[in-house]
Amino acid sequence: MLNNLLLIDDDDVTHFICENVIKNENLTKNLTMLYNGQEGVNYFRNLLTAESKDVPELILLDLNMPVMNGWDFLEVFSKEFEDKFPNTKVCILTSSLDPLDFTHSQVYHNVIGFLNKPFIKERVEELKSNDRLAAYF
Amino acid sequence: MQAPNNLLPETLKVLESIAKINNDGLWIWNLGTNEVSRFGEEFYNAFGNTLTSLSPPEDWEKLIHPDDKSRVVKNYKAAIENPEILRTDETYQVLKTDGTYADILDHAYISRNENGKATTVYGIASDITFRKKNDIEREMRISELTKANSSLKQFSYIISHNLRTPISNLIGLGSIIDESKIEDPLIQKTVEKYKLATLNLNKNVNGLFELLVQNTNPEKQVQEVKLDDVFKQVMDSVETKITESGAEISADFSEGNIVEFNPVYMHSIFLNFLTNTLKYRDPERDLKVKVFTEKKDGCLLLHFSDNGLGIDLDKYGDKVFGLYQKFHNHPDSKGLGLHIVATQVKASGGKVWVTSEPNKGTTFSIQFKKIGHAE
Repeated sequence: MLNNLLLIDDDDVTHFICENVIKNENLTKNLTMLYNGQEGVNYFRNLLTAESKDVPELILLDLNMPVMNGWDFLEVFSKEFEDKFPNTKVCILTSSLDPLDFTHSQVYHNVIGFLNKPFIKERVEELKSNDRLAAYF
Repeated sequence: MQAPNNLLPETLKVLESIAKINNDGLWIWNLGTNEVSRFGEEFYNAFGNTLTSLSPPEDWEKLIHPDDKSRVVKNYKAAIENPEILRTDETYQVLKTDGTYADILDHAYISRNENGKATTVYGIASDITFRKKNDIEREMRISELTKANSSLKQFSYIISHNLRTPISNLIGLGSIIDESKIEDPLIQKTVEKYKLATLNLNKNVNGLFELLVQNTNPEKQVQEVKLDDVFKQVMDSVETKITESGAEISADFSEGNIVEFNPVYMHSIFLNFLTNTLKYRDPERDLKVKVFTEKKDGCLLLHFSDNGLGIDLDKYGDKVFGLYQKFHNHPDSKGLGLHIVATQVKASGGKVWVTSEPNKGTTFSIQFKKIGHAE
């Protein structure tokens, strides 16, 4: 089981679904949910100075979001936080079927997966069987 | 018109008539006397009457647009002086009496004596203003269409995303509901149907999307495809459905097994044929399916034949491969499959057709594009 999982998605219903599915499938102990990339950046900035370090092992990242989208978040994360939180992996969670989105996501080596919504039981199983998360399951 | 003194009246008439065919200007430039005889009254009248008679080349040259003049004169001079050159072309603008410029295309042949010295230049001048204008317009249209096509493609991704997000949510929400905990049987049933409706909505949107992506991605990845391999993959992917149906399926690709085709298309075509066959089997008899290839007139044909319900072709003949055409009241039918097949076959330069008889069966046939001789 993961200890800390971070969901970044602007959609409330997705939050509700993920929260419930994650609970039912015992994916993580703690779940934090944010609404856009900027909130994600702020979250990691706070982690840098925070005393207790509940660093997420996995970020479920939506791509289309207001304020700061998933791509821009990935850029900032790679530049500012990657070396400080080397154990944090990213998995894209999107309803986009644009093949270019998948191709583009492969550029980032900390992106370990590309999931299509909805986030249902089968998606959780895909995550659990992901090689780069094997240590937790 | 003043006749060049070395030509017979009959010859003059012939040349004048030839010029009329395309309203071209014919010109014969005698390099010895430096005189140009011109034929094609209609053509030359647009540039001034004096040109239709015997005149020095300068009379024409002075009408050439200043941007083109020195280049054209220089090129002709160079061509004439080079004993290797027999033919030359020039495109340039010439001033008409109405004050506008015409785009002229000259085709010229240089006649030389035994020493290679040019003696006469024969030429045809064509007014290509209209053609050139059309070319420019066509270029513009193509570029507009390309732009429109790419923005449509972008639009389809956005629409698909905007539709898929709420549909995904509906499916996600449905997946959380544990129906066994619902006590009221009506609500339980309603939720069950609600989930089903959501899944169907999702299927339809994905089907449409597949169609959009396919129609906006003309780049085909054609390679050598082994029909038996692809067919086996497809059989494996719907194995449970085949077992359930009790279908007896035979495949024989001995007449030809390798085609030049997009493997993804081939997979989709077999899958569409196979699922159709299973869906529209006749409950009155055991389903028998025959898949085989045939060589005919140098082309390879693929036949996919069953003894299912059949289609009334008198009634539906021209609609079989249309979009959203359904011939049976089947709950799972979207009316997309055969349309996708037809699009994929056509995009690959092949043909697809159907023969069928109600209550006897259906045969779908594909003629693959002839493989060109190796170069």
